[in-house]
Amino acid sequence: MSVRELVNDVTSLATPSIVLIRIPDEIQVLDAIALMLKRLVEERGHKALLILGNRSAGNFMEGLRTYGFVIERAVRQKKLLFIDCLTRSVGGPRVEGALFVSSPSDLSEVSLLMERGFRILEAKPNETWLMIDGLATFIIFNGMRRVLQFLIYTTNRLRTRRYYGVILYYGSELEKQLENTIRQYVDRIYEV
Amino acid sequence: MGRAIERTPTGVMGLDEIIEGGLIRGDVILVAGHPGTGKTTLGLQFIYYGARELGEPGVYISVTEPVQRIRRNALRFGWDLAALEDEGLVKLVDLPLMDVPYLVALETGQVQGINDIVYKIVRPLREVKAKRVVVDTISALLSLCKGEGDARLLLLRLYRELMMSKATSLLLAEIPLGTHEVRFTAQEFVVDGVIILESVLEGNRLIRRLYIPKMRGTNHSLDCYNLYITEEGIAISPMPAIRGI
Ligand SMILES: Nc1ncnc2c1ncn2[C@@H]1O[C@H](COP(=O)(O)OP(=O)(O)OP(=O)(O)O)[C@@H](O)[C@H]1O
Ligand SMILES: [Mg+2]
Repeated sequence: MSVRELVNDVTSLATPSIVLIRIPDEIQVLDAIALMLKRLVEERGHKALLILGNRSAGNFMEGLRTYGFVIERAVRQKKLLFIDCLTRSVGGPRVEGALFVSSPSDLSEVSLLMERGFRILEAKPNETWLMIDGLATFIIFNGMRRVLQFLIYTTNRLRTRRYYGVILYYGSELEKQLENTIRQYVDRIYEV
Repeated sequence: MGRAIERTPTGVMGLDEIIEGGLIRGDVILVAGHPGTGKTTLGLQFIYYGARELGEPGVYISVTEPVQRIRRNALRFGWDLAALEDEGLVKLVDLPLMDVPYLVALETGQVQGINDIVYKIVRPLREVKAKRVVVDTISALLSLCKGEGDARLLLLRLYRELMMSKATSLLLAEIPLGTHEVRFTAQEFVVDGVIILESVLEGNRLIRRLYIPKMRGTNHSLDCYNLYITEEGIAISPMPAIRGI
């Protein structure tokens, strides 16, 4: 499946669903997220909260800008928000439009900021998306079991609120173990 | 189905959700914690939230810190207590227990001395018709009592008066580092609910946790939650902390 097909498919899911997306390389992840955000946030006015484990929000925003996505406007309109899990522990500038977790090892804090993020966005059912990029980082810092618990907790929350969930991963050896368990909690699995 | 119990939301993000929406109105709750775990902040948040968001008058009795400090530190979280004091919604009361009259009163070991102290706490409640009260800390009060018997008496008298005032009360209590026991006279048994704040090392990070061993009349969570002191005050994680991993 190509990134374009993937984006078409995911953005036309009729009801709030939770999907796993396996994309083997980082450029394509950015591709996929940028295209999804353009369609969902800019065209449809949906809201998106992105949890980033692999890179800082500042760095990710730079990437998004190259697709012509106007981040500041989306942030100002309460349509887009990032949860940055790296900057506070490795250093770097704190940008607007992001909440900062003290360490990727603190998934409880991620869950807290997720709640805060949804509140800031004034999230509503059927038009709110949570995207998670960076499973490998979370596994390294927390171990498999804890990340699974976090994902199960999170998918449950999303379902009770009727939000969409998109979990991206590269398919590294680490993540493959997780995939086998988490697949029973999601509605669809895509492979690019 | 029984009659709906009236609840007092604490205003602490995550806490109300795990206690059926809030504390039972009029209950006396012990909030016991290790040093620096956010007892004072939680108490202030409770008073501030009640006054600002719900218009409920509140009294904060400070035994340990001077109220000027309390006012100053509260501003760090954007809580302008002075403004609420001007509106007559909040009363910060200094109870400088080191003052001789109090010490003498307690040292006599007489019921009258204890009644005096209790009166000093209860009187301001009437002045503002308080719906929320915080005593910071009950441990400091009890430690000044001469013996276990006096401390018990003071606690029971205070509990009774607070109950009759119909205000929802938080009694803050100290748990010394390295222990898990609230100091003095088994306070946990007298009060209607207990909230524990502890600080623990997880790997090489210090984390704060909250759990609720008891809350009469409430189907509360038995899980343990990470607690955070953020720029908006205390918040607890919606996802329970998992112990032993
Ligand atoms: N603005 C802030 N942002 C984040 N954390 C803060 C802030 N201000 C204080 N803290 C943290 O909160 C702690 C103190 O909180 P607080 O005074 O409520 O605790 P306490 O349990 O009452 O302490 P004590 O046992 O000394 O009475 C500090 O030690 C500090 O770690
Ligand atoms: Mg204190």
